[in-house]
Amino acid sequence: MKPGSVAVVGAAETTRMGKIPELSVIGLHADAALNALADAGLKPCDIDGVATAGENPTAIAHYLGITPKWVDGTAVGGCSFMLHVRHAAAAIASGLCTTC
Amino acid sequence: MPNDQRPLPTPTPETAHFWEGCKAGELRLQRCTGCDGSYFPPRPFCPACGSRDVEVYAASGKASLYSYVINHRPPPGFGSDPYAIAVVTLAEGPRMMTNIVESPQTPEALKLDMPLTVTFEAFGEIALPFFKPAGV
Repeated sequence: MKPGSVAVVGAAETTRMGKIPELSVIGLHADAALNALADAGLKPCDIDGVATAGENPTAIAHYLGITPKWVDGTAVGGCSFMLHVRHAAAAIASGLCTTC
Repeated sequence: MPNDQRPLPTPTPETAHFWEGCKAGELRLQRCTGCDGSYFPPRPFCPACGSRDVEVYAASGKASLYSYVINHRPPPGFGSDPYAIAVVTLAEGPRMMTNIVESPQTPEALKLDMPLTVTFEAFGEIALPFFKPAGV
């Protein structure tokens, strides 16, 4: 894989911070994911790989309307999400999921 | 059916309207005001297009039997007789996992594509949506 051939194209948090009583745990995941999709100009059907820690990545994918080819549920503490980025880059490079 | 051991859902903010509807005898679905698609289970956005412009509406309660298995080893809270775990296709499109009631739990009685109607059974504060053969 050439350096720079995989990039983060969208990133977001939940719409509001602090106490958010109107959303469940899975709802918070979906809210942040929808915001990241909007940031990237993508729709759920454009996505074929999902990584998350704590919640089940397949459950998150189905909740978002995604049929995943690749999932990663690595949960090793606060650095899980750094590993997700690394795993995602490796998955794209090896063809386990796509970017188009 | 002994109900005290039956696992029941805990409504969340996103699913409260559905469970309140079941208690009121109404099957509530959601649809996207953008792409017009109905979906289930409840969530505050459209799983087809990602839009957050969605609305709750009362479904017809009509469905057809899509698939089922007959479980001969009921878990605690599900009685002692074999019972069908079914997937039904709602008239509005979405599929729902449920039980078929007011019918023998046999392949002879449970015909695929048979028309069904929703019915609700209360378990304390929660009412669960089940389906029975249409016309029963």
